[in-house]
Amino acid sequence: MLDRGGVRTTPVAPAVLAGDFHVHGMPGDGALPVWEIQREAARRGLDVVAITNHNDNLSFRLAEISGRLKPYPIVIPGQELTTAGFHIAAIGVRTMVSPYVPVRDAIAMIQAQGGVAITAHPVRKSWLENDDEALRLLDGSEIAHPASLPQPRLAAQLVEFHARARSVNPDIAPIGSTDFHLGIPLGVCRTYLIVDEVSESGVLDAIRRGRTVASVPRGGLIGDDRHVRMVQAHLGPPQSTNFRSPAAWPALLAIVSLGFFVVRP
Amino acid sequence: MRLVSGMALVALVIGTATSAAATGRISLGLLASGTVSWSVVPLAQLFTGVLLVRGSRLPLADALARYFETHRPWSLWLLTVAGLLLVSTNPGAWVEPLALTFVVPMALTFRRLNVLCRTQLGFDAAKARRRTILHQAVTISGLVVYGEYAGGLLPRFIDTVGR
Repeated sequence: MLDRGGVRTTPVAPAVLAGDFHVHGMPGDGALPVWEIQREAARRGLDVVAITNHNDNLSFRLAEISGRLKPYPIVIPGQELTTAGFHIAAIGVRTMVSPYVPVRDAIAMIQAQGGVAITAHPVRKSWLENDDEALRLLDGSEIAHPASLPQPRLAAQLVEFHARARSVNPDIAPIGSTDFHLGIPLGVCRTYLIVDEVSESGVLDAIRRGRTVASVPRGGLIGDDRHVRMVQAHLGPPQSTNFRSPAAWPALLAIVSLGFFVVRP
Repeated sequence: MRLVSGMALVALVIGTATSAAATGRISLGLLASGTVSWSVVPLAQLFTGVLLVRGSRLPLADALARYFETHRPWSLWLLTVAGLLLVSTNPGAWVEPLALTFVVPMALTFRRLNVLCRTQLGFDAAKARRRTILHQAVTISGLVVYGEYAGGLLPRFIDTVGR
């Protein structure tokens, strides 16, 4: 929700929130420290982000210790559980899950902490499990991911995975995430959530109950019809898939100037 | 002073490139955050630099200041990649191909380090080659260790080998 000054403010529940649940921070393989991710989230019209570094949450802990996190947008700690056979975005976990446990155990460990388990980019190379029970245990699956935007083959694999998971787990939440590192704007793929409470627990509860709609730029909304109808009334402007905006020109000027400074004799 | 400014320039370049490539803009706050956060890189380079220049004919601070000047290929590469991502209509498709061009600054840095060792640090050709190889080996090992921490390299490696 934006106030007149363009500053993101906390909406009043029940509400439709916009979230990105697959974001990498620094230190890690992300480019930005978590407090800058939070600022960027506000700028990109997001109400919630989850920090999901690979098998680690140091970047979130540093942000907490630094005291630089603001109350809003909501920042949820997490982990991209990166294993030899599957990738799961574990949202709302504070203790890291070992990448060397079987998939059902991993999901149970995430949920035992009060977190939710979302398959991360479940294309064929990222989900080798052939286990319907694991699909039944999942809380969500990424059906919108930037890697699939230029590659229809990958987009089809995400849709196929979600359909397969839904056949055994009808309430599985459709999730749109950016898998943000750099090069792609934060929130370019995003998830709209219908929450009863504007808080971390309200967000996790919406995912658990499948009250989500995944959003793909130019590709529309993916989710249950009644949820899509609720979300449509709250949609902001379409998300751009690149950085070409007036704000980019000063950045380009800074880069070129610094380049000249670097090559000076 | 020259050493500190060389290290600060490396941190500023990385902070600028990463901030711009992640957000599509630059602000003073972003620059400050990025520069401070990434200052860990020149600090690590200080360690690899000492490995390279120890025993040179120059005072240590002077030798290290000249060592930081060899970062120029990496600095220009980082700024170029960030600039290209800013102007691209489809930056997501360019991240991986651009990342693969890292071999260019890597090769140029190897050459510059070798020249630095021979012409300014006063090492003979064999010692210059040994020091350069040692430096690059330590740097690459450090990157692999960080890659395992930051990117979960070991499970991915097991996955690749297991197929």
